[in-house]
Amino acid sequence: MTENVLVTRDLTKQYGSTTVVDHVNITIQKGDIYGLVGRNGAGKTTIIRMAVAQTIPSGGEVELFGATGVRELGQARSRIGAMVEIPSFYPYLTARENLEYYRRQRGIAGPHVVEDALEQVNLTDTGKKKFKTFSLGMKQRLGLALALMNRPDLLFLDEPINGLDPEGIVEFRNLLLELNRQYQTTILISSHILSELQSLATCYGFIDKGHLLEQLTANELAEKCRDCLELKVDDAPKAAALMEKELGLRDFEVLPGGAIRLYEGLEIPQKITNLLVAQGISLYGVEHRGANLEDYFLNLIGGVHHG
Amino acid sequence: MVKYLNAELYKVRHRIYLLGFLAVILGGISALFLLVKLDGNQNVTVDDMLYILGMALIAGLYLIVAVCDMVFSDQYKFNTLKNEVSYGLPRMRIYFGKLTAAAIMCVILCVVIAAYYLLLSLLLFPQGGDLSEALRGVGEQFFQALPLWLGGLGLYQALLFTMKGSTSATVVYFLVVGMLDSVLKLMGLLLPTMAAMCQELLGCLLQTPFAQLPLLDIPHAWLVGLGWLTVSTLVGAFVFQKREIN
Repeated sequence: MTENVLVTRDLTKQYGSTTVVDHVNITIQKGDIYGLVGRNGAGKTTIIRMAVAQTIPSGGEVELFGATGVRELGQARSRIGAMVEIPSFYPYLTARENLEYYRRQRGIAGPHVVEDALEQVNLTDTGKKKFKTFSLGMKQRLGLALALMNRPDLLFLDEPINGLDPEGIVEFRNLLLELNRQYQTTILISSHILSELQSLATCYGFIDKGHLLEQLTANELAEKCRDCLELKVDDAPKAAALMEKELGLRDFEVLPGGAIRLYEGLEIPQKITNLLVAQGISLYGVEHRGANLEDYFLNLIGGVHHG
Repeated sequence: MVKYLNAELYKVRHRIYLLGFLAVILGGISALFLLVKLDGNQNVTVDDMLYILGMALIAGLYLIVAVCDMVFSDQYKFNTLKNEVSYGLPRMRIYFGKLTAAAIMCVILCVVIAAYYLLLSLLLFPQGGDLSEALRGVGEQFFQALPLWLGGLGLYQALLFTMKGSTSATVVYFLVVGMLDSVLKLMGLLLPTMAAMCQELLGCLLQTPFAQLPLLDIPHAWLVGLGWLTVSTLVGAFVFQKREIN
């Protein structure tokens, strides 16, 4: 049976008369890697900030591990790790001292917790270097170490690969995948780098102007983004039957409005069109389609916005 | 709460600020004693130095700023509060944890500074009269000053939690603790119809009982100090509960 780890119900945030998150309903199940996709200012960070109690919702509710009450949510949050926006630490403390401070504050037991967390993110050799002298990449790594220190069941990561070098991005991706596989850690990750998100996420939520436009699994997305030949005809059922009978094509879907998406036979478009025309079917258009996450998202929000 | 305090004290211990603060205060005390000694006045006794200590207790109202700042550590400037609330720590625990940690640090520093002062007095100056009597007098003055310092602590902490930055909180605190009495006195002189009210308000200020030292009005000092602590803590905690953490 699937377990809902995070559910938002009509989650809304308003600042004055501006609604930045508008009745968002998200469901994330145990073991999911949920990619939150949206432009700058779409509301991604605000959703995460409401989930982790940094900001108070104007409406709706957040459910974490089945808990919704204030006290229960507080307890449930001890099972999460979060890295929201740029990681923030005390500038005059070292990486070890900063983590030790939070380890004591959270009452995380174990003598090697801090060392293990630093090792996970390759920060063991920072020595007496103060946080204020860290590069952005090092700050990101330390933020991740803090998020992982309590071995969370749910990890919130907001733009986590900002500032990481290519090697760091690969390590980071592998670390998340390992956490997800080994400990069933559920991850909610928002990123502008959609290709990176595509290599991690098992499901997606697309958000624009505070509205959740669509939620779908990686399989559903792959299905929607598959290479295909889209034919526009006057009689789609008849055309489909002909292609199946004469050319043996079976992997297609008939869409409303006289369109057919054909996922095989992409190398013989001429043969297909000739067949249809010869059988008296009016052909209005033939288009070779295929999309990645970026194309899909842009298509969903209505193309690239300028200005 | 114990874990929270443990973490706060760990953080303060690892700040160079703490050692710097102590060095400045103890250095200042050493310089004062050196000046008195070099001045060559043979009549100065331990009792005199303890009397001066009693008169200087109002400085505690200002030193609180440094101690509280040490604990609060510019949370809004460094955005570190998000690491605490995201983990599910109740905001009340955060507020009262920092208040308690600051109070503990105040007590520790107060003991260290007073002990150093007493030690230098005993080492450098002759005893004038009954030492135990002089110590009892200073002890009573500390007992009067303690609630007022706590009131100041509560007020400054509330300002730190409710205002945008430490600088603005410090400015407001110094205006309340350092200038409000002068303003009320002036208003009382310029506006005779408000003189009685100004006089009443003067009695409620944290700095007023210090002006009465070494005359002791311990109940009044406790009433004023705990009043400021309670009201400012209630307001500060309420505002922090609703505050957005960036």
